[in-house]
Amino acid sequence: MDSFLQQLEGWIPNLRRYARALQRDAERADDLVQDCLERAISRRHLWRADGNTRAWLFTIMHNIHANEARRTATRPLHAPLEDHENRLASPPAQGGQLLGRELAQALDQLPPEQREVILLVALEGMTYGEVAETLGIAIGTVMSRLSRGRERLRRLMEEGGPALRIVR
Amino acid sequence: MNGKPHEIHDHELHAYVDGQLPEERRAEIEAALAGESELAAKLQAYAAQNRGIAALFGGVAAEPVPARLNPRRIAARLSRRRWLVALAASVAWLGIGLAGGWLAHERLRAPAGVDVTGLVARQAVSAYRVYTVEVLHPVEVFAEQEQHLVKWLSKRLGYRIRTPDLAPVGFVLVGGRLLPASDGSPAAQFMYEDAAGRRLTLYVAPNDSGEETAFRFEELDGVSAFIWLEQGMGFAMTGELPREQLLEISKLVYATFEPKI
Repeated sequence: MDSFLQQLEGWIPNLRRYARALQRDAERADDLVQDCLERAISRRHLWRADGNTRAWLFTIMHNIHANEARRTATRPLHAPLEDHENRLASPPAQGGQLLGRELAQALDQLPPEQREVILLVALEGMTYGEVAETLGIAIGTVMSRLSRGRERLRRLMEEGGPALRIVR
Repeated sequence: MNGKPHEIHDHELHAYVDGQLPEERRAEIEAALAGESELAAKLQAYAAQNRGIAALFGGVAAEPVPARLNPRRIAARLSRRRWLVALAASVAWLGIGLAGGWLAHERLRAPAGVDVTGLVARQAVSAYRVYTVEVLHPVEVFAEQEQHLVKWLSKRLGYRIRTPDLAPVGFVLVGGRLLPASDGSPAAQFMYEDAAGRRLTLYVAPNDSGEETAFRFEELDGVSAFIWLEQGMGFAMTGELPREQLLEISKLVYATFEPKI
């Protein structure tokens, strides 16, 4: 069994989850994952068996996504929210949780570089060091993006009125 | 905030939320938060963001993975594509090769009506000029290994070659070599030398023009050659000798190759 392909396969659920958070549309998200896997496989000579495969794969996906976002800067990045609402992974608005739709809306308003850091930490549980490695930035930059992004998210949720507050 | 030990840095708040803080510091922060309602609210908001994001997208990881994302399939497709690219490249090279071969054929192989003996003469004289001036390496295989030389060149030319005995006219075999003929097929050159150090060559190359000719004399820049075509081969006896002397020698050579009935 090819241990490289095996490792790749193991990270696919993570890649799909992060891609969905970035792209929202399921098809486009899986396109992103497929592009990422193709690039990884065609560059397997750069893979280190003893290295951080997750960071390597997420770096590849980040680069593809960033390039794509640059190319399509004039087009809307995400699918309409109505579309997204139907794709909620689990029912939101349970005790102490944020309303999913409003959170998604608020995330969309963040600068992409802040959104990325927040998602990698929240979804992947990456350490700040891993996020820095993945995005190719300094750990201090990770912290400042995380701080500004979360604060902005918090304010957006508060400004959104009662419907956007934490449901208690 | 109450003094240094309990001062909470912004990045520590995040590290607390994300469970990336050492246990000791974690306890200190929890103690400090008791009197900091605004910080506590921030912390709660950040933690809620994390939970909200996990609730929004976390389920994707449990969804069945579509077949198009199967790494083995992708790898197989990529290697197929690489193979096809390599195949396309080799087909392109083959095309170039065929075209080049055809052009070379057009250029080098004498088509019907072309002066085949002239072609053989030019090749023979060129080879004569190149190799008879050599002191150390006039031939590839010296006459000491005549049997081997004859066997080798016969095999390469696909023609049972012989080394004429020119001792009666004062010339002895030096040796021979393999050469490319005008159409790229193998040709042979044998070199002879007399006591004065004068050299002669016998050039033998395949001739598939179907033509057979008697002796024809050519002189190119002071080098004389007698050429004849026979048995699908072209022969050229070349040297810087008077025409009559070279003719006598050529007759000897011709007799050597004449089919014995």
